[in-house]
Amino acid sequence: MPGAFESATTCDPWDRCLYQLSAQPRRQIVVSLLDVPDERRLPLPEAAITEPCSVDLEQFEVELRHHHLPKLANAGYVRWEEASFRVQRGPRYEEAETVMRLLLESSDRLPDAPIRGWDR
Amino acid sequence: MSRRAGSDDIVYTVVSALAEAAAVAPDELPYTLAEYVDPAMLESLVSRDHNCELTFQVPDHEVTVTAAGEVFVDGVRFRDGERPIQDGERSTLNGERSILDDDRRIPDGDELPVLPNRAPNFGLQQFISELPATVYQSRNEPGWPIDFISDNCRELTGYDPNAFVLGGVTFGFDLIVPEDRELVSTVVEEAVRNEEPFTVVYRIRTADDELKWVMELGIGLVGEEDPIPFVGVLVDVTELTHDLDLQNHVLV
Repeated sequence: MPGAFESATTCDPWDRCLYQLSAQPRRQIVVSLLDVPDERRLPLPEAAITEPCSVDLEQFEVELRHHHLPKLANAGYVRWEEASFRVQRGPRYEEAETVMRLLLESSDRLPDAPIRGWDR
Repeated sequence: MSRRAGSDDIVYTVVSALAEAAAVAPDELPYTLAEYVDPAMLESLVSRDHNCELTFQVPDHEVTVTAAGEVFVDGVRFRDGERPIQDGERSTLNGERSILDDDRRIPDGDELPVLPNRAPNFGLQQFISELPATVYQSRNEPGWPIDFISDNCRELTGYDPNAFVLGGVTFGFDLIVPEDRELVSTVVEEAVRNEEPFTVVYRIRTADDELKWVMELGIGLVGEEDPIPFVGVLVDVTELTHDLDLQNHVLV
């Protein structure tokens, strides 16, 4: 049985990671946290928005609070604060970071941009 | 005719329905939908041409979502964008959940299994909230992420329950002081291996940067799904530390 501070092997990490990255707001949050320090807290909903003009902000914030942020936090990829509505890296953030960086590096071989700043 | 939610806005519609039932704005709902149902299940339900529905419980209400995108709170259909339902106009679920008045019948069909509600029932919840201890359920993963924690965790840790359940705050990574983590991990691992309860005393740093001593009594529910869940209680023993043998933090 793995110790609490060792890598958990009880849930397939690929299943977990790819499932978490299967929604655009969650991908965008992971990407927004790529080049910021661990302790940096980014404001929401901005960190999750891909195309500002197309978002119904009220609805989007509800979906973040009730769906996307709890999912990412449950996987350990982020921590978020309800009151100040900010998000930062979680203890398992590197797992999602690795996959997103690989996607970014392969951008010329993939279809339409899945996140804002795809051409970074 | 009320607008029926599609998969893109079903989460918003359900939250709006619950907020209306609670007479608050959607951003004032005192709980998060994800605590009681996986929102992805709702999106999947309404994105397919199935004849089925999903019912789940939230504090004080029962919610049913149909594959057609209709949302019922306590049997009353939520009509997004329309005036509140007046007396005598109520569209309700009567008797069998699949039977409604005439044209507002919920189609008969297969029911999706109700997702397990990890929150205890409310009588038990009240009892737990009045205990002089913090009750929790976590799972055997790095940091021991929390699936449930009683409201009095605020007094002990400085964090609200949602900070743990939804915000990703964990005892392992955020509260237990670094010097005590290995000891706690060792005690818990051994208890799981021997299928025994454990008791351990350690220090935490609260959200307000206060140092406290905590006694944890817990047990791993071996035989349950993997990762196995832990259940236990946490007691603030800061004032008692003068009488404890702190050279050996493990109490058997």
